[in-house]
Amino acid sequence: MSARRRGIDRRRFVKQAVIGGGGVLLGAYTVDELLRNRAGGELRVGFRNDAPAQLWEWSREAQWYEAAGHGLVRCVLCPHDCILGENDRGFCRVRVVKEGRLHSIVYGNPCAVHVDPMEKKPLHHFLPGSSILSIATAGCNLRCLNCQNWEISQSRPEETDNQDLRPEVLVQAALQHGLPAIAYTYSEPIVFYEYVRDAAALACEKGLRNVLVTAGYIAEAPLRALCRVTDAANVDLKGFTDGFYKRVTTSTLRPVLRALEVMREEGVWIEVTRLIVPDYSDDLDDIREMCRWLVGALGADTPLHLSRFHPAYKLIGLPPTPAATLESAYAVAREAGLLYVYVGNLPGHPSQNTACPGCGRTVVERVGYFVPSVSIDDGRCACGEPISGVWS
Amino acid sequence: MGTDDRRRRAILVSVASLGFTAIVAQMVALREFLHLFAGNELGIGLILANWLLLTGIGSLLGRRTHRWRSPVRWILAGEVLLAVLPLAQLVGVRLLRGAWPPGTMAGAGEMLWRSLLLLLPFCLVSGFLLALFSGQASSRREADQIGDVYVLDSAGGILGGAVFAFVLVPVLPPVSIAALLLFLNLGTAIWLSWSVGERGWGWSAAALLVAGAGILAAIDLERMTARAMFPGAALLYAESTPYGHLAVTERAGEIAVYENGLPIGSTADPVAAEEAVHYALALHPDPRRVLLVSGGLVGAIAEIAKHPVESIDYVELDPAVLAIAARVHSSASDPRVHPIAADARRFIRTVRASYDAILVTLPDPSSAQLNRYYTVEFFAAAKRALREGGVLGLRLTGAENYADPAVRLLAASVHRSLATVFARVLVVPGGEMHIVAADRPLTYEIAAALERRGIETSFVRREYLAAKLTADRIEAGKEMVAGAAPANRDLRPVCYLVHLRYWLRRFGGNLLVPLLYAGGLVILIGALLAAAPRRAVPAALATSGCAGMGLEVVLLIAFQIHHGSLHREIATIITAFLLGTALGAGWGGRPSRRPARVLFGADVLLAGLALVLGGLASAAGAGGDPLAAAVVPPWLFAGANGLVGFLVGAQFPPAARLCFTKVEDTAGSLWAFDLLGAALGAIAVSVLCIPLLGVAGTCFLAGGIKTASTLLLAARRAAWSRAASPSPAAPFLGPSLAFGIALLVFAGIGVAIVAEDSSAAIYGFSFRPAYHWLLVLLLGLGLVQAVGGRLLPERGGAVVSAVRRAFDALHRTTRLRAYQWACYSAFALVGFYPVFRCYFTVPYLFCHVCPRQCVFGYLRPYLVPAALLMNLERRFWCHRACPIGTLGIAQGRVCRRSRRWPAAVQILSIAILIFTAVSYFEIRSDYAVQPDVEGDWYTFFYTNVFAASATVIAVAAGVVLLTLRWRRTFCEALCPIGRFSELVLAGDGRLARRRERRVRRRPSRLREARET
Repeated sequence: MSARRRGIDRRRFVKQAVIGGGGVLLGAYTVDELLRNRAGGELRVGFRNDAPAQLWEWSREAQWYEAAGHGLVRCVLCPHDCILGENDRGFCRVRVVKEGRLHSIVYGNPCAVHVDPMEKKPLHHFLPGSSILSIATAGCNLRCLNCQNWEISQSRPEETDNQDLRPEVLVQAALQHGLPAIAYTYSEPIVFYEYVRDAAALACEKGLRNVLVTAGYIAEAPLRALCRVTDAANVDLKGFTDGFYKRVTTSTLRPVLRALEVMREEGVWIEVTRLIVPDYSDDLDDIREMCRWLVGALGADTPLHLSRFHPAYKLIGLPPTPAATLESAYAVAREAGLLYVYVGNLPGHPSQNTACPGCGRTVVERVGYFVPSVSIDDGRCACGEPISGVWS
Repeated sequence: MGTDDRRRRAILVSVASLGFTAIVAQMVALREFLHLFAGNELGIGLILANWLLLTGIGSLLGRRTHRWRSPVRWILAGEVLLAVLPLAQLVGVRLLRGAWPPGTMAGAGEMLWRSLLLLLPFCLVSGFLLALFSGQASSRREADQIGDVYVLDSAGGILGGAVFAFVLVPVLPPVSIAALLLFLNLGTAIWLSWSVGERGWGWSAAALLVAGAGILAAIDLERMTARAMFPGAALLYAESTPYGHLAVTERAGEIAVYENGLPIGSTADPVAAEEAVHYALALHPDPRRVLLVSGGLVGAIAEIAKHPVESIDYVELDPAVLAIAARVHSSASDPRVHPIAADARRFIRTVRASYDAILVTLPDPSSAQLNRYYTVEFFAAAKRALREGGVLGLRLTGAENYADPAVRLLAASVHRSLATVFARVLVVPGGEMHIVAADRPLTYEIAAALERRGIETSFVRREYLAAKLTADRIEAGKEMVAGAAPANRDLRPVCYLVHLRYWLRRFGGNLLVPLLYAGGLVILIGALLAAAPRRAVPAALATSGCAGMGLEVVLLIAFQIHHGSLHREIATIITAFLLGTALGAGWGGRPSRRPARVLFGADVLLAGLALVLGGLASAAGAGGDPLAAAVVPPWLFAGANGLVGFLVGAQFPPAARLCFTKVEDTAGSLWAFDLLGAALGAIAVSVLCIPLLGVAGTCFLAGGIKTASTLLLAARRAAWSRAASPSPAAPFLGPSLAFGIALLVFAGIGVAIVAEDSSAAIYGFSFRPAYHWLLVLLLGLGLVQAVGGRLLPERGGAVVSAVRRAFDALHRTTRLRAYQWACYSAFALVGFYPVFRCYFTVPYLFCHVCPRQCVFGYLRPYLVPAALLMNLERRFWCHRACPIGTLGIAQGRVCRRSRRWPAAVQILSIAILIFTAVSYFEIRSDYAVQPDVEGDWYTFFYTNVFAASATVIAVAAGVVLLTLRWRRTFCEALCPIGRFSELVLAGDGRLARRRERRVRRRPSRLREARET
């Protein structure tokens, strides 16, 4: 009887040893693999395995990415630094990895194409009164709660209605309509970088100007390369604390400031927009600090647009910014030393004209998006004071 | 008066007080939640459905109370909770609003969970008390007292509804109403405790009452909590009106007015005011008489007054809004302005040819109420109210630079509805789209017309319009409304579902939320039915609850179309329903009636009523606008709703008599059926049925459901007379519920994976590292158990034994172990993913060559070896951890007469095993050599798209169906892992038996040797 039990025990013992030993080995292997994947994978901020089955026919290989080991690639276009595996999609929703290479899937494929007044971008010191061909593709590398174009910026390119508009055709269209410039705007031009790069280079050749309307969340090297074909930029400086940037936009402040400095160094004409959202970014001390930084880093002649918030995207429970808040912000900005401060989205506000900092005369008169008169000669006011900007 | 009488009277008063409290607390909560959630049909439907569901679960939990020794003490405890919770709930909602990122709104998932958690305590207690009261209403312990409690509860509800609508809301702010409930319930508790001799409870309740009164007198809770909702702004004024919560705030000199937490106007938004007015008025050559529907708070009146108008009729539903508009905007005191407090829809119908312009400045058609202003019928009424050549102007969410498909559809639907009435429709594109319709030529010469009239504006002027009305933007606007879309009609309201889809895309969530919610309710009801005695009876109650709710919603919508969204009248109609239920229950519960006959008769009549209403609705929809021609008097809606209530109520007492086992048991489960059915109606009817099927279709659906239940009753009736009383109920939360939940998880995962708008999210979730670590942990626990280890130590402290008791209870009731549940919920996504999306025609097998692995493919290298190891001893993986196995096991527990597959079929699985092994290598070599060669294994099985395959899903459905008859079909007939383990175990068993024989022989030889 005892022998029988011993026999079974031995069998059970062997089996349990196999299960236990196998389990330990398998566990070690699994944990090791998962940890190793994690080493390369947890940093991924994009959408795993979300690439479309087929690339868009004009999809281009991305310019700014590098190998990250384990068959992964690292996109170095913007500070998110997405680490992506095969078939992954970047945080911006427009870059995917196919066959180990990163591709832009919005090349030549904008979803919004309009002709807007230059003043609507807003650019007040750049070819005033002219119209500008404006394009955007789907996708964005930010997630602002108050996005005004969330239908495109928070969509995949497969979800939007797009047009075929290769760089050559785009530039041709601008020339045909006699438009002096092309704006890459609405969503975020950084995410359709390759398209901007090629279209802007071609436009430069044909004597057209290029304008970026951007949040400036981009790495330094790609920005420097892009600045060579960019004439002007309107950069949204949405707040002046890292906390605000993280809470409202899912990005950080420092790279945006760096981008402004780089653009300045590269000789791009910069205008800065600050949207003032009640309860989020209406702190006057914050605005003062920002203006002081602007004066120091970019110069007192940098135009600043203080823009009024209207309920949008997820922020629908807030009223428009009070006019008085905008007035105080205006006063703070002037006090900080900025020469050209404009209040935007507030029709009829007196600050919409450009006054000469020397004599105080109105040198550019604006009514809405109309520019009835520009009295700037060769970049100077009649009194001889230079007015910064690109006037012709 | 004897003690028993006193006690009984106090209990009965408590029941009525419960009915009163429940209705009033529900109304207060619904209104407060609108600060957190959008007031669309989904938000309201979810809150209401959660309320009913939780109350139903509460009453289910009260079924076992007949074993308790002193139920009165529990009642007293419940009443004290009932007193405190409405106030706590209200404060909780307001503090939550204040704690959120300012200005943001909740998505669908957040709405579901937050309302579930916030409503949980009150609803569970009130449902629990329903069952508890039924047992205490008299000492007779008979079926009749269930009906009595139902009548009394309804009576309390009638009083509550009426007092709330006609007395409380117009007079008291929400916190005071909740305080009133506090005093009422504490008072009832004191009376009850005195009547039953529980003096200690009485003193405690009295102390609480005094303390509560003191605290509420000392602090202004209303103002404190109202302020907390608007951080960053000064709250100037707040008022609760019958139509909503109005608040006026000030920020840096700018006044903003909020309704239910959303800004509806401010003193400094000239753009909105100008756009609302000038497009339409500029397109009329000489606007003299103007009708403004809402928009006074935006500042539209001052803009209208800039035109040479003679009179401005300004209509608002809520008189309080008129008053605030008059105080906020000075222009409202212009002598030409005539404020009119009325439902604009109703008002316009009474007017003939008297306006030059009608300006509608309402929010988007996000609910049935607002949808009334965007239908063909409304536009036709507006046209009749206009003079020759008059214009109608309205606004919609548009697109600044790019139009979302849902926005396009919405705009196209409204445009089409307008175009069926007016000859010309002009679209002013923009973030806010403005549409002007008239029977005269309309052009975009708006700025010129305003200049001719000499009107000064800041935004609607040449300088801005030149940028807004460029050729390409006008073209885009025209294209936007040109898409194919159904017209929006009163009785076929399509717009609010379209708007809901847009809203969900914006705030998160999708239509799966209501769909799955409804599916879950159906399964819960089904599982409860499976365990209930005389199933046809509770089935009739549940379907009546659902159909009753559906018909009530239909009647309310029809009334609003017809007579306007009038607070008092709507309250009357709802009260009529409650009155109907009380009268019906009183009538149906008379001892002289034969229960089966009453139940059946009420069922037939309810089915008939639903079909008749459906017929009326489709007749009304078929004609042009017959509702306008033949005015149905308001009392008829109340009467019809009362009749619906009567028929629903009349079924309750006879159902109690037919199913009677024990008082609390029967009462608890019948209440649950009634409430869960109503919850199903609340979520399904307003969100899904009415937009998809139309009003008539919804009535016909309700009629169809009731007809089915009638037929079921008819079939079962004969059997009841033979058996005097039903057999006792099966255990609560039986295996059917377990199977239902398992199947819902399976289907829910499937729908979420297949549906385009949720597939990416669920895919992303499946690759979360934390999720993978959880799976590894579960596998580890499984291996420990596979070698005979225990998860919980044999002996342990109180915590361990409590956990073990809970696990045992779960095992006893669902017949699935806690580990099984944990594994099922964790591994379901992994296990079922390939069924719903796979790159190959055969899922599970070719992950090693998949260009785009799903979570199963990603984890397969660890999962399969772990499963095989676990199976080595006794197929632990198959029976305890595998999600497919668990689904099959749960199904086997439900199905009677299920049998094993014949041995011949097992050969099939051996063939599949061999095929798996061969194809593993074959396909890899094909993939490695040349992936594009025609005719090799890879190209044969590879579908080249990560999509749902109809064949695979059909096979999966077939497997589920086959499992109804044969046990664990997938595991037995198809699964390679199961078959491989089975073979290993069989071989092992044969070895073991041989050795056993040898061992047995050996000692006998020894014995022989010893003997010799």
